[in-house]
Amino acid sequence: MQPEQHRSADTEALEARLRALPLPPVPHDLESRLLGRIPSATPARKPWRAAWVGVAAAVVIVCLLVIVARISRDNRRPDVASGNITRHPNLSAGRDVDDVAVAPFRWPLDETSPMSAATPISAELLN
Amino acid sequence: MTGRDDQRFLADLRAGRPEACAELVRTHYQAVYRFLAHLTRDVHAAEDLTQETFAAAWQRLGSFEGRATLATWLHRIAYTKFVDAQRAVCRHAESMKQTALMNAPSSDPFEAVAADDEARRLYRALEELNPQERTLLVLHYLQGLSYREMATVLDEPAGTVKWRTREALGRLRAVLGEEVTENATGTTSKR
Repeated sequence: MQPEQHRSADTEALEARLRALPLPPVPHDLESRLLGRIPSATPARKPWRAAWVGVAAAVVIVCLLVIVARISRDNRRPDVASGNITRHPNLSAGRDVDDVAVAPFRWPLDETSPMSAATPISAELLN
Repeated sequence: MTGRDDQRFLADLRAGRPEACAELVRTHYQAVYRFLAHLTRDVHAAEDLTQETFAAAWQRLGSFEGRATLATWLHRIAYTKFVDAQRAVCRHAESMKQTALMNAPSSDPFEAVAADDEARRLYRALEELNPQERTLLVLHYLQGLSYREMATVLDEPAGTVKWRTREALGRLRAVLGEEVTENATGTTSKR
């Protein structure tokens, strides 16, 4: 027999011996002790955590929908082909302002100066 | 148990139903105890650690995701408890005396079962291995876990676990060989 084969047979025999080892006895009262220590309420998974995640997700989705709806409304183009152009109320207000006759601009100050320019400067002041 | 039954059983466990918890104990406590008995070599330590294992299981049940089997999960907790206990023993010099007590013949769980010479020799050889090697052989050959399950228990890659188990088996064979040689030498010298 080859050494490798012999070694393999040895290993298999040892594995079989290990698997066939007698099991140690279990104490009789261990089961009852373990059963007696089962808590009345084990900490189950917290359902409120999942509920919170659901509520947060719903809020985020609603916010996104509102934002998208506003953007699409603002970007809505006028229907040029059909000629039904609806003017934005602000724009029509602007046109109304344009149509009103604008009064000529007047300076808030008098145009004529109360001072006379012909006041002579005395010679003393010039020296 | 079918997959559907497993799911229902898990749901019952997570809901904390007492009858499901009792079934978990009845199904797995012997395997957990025997695993710990092999690791500790002490009846009382194995009992205490089994109780600690199930106490921890009740606490962690909510976070059990069901990726491993319940048996593997319980073995993992039991192994962690054993490692923690070993660390505690090593930390306190006083506890070294307890270690000596742990190996006292009166509390050896294999004394009664290893009636025949063959089993006794094998148990003695297992005792001579270091705890890591013994853990690997116990998990695979005595507890019947696959390499993948062992990888989950020991938190190591399955390939490493397989290689280390082979190494441990080689060590055991060497220990048994030495024992045979020693016995043969002893017999020859007596003659």
